[in-house]
Amino acid sequence: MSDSHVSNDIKTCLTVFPLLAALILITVFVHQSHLSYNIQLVIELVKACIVISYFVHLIANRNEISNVWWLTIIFVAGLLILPLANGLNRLNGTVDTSKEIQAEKLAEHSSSDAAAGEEGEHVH
Amino acid sequence: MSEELIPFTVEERPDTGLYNAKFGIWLFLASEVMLFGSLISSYIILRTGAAAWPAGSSILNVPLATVNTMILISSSISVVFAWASLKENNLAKFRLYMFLTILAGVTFLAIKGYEYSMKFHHHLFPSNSMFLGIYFTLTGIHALHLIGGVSVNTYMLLSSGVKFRENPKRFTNRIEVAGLYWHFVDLVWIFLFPLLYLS
Repeated sequence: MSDSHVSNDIKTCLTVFPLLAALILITVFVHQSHLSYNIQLVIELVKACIVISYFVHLIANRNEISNVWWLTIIFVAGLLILPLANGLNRLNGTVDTSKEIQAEKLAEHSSSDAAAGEEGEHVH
Repeated sequence: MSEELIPFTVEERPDTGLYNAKFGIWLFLASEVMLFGSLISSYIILRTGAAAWPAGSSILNVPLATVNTMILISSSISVVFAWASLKENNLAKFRLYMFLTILAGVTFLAIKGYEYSMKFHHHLFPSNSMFLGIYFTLTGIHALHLIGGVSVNTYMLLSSGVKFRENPKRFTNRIEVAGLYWHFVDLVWIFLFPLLYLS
């Protein structure tokens, strides 16, 4: 790697660092402002892409190993997206879990009522 | 002797375009991505399946974690500077930046230790709730990775005089590889911070 390449790397790091620091503060601000959690996730993905691209040199190393890396990232993204697709719906309230909980409570009540009824019959 | 037996410790392989250590660390990091990916995926499944979930910020210390995030990102910069110093054949500068990297890692661990002790002091243990169980598992595994990184960096710093004199290019490559691992540890924390503290 040439000296100019090294100095370019340092320049990139010096540019990326304040950007990452700013994004961290923005994430905390988004959280404190009670804005959507999805915004935080998007910011995190941007931060992760910056770190992978510049610090882990994924942009600079365009060869076979980077293809292996991209493949890994695609698999992990799938691993996360599958539960996340369902999970975000629940977090945003589009999937109403309260009905399921109510149904469970009703089932519990009915079973406890039945048990109490049986006990009452035994007393009489 | 070992360089004759094992080729491509310094020069890049013609087929992959990488020297052995870099090829190895990338394969290792790929497996690490899968490890943390599966843990985070488990977190998502458990969280979305739970009827109720506590807000992380109500239990955990967000300002302290924000400071920790800044420290870890700063250490990623210092490790790049350490590697660049070796490229410029400046061993003294390398030692300074590597020391700063190690210091940042130790500070992160100390803050994390303080956070853990505060939790234990308030009788908050992994067995108390699913959230705390996940919090201690994820941050604990991350801390173990950080301890590994600090150990490797300390070894590199202590042996830098001898190893750099023996084979400067090979030692520089080793620092680059150690740096890649360090960046990965930083990357994992970037995901853990909002998942646990800000959700």
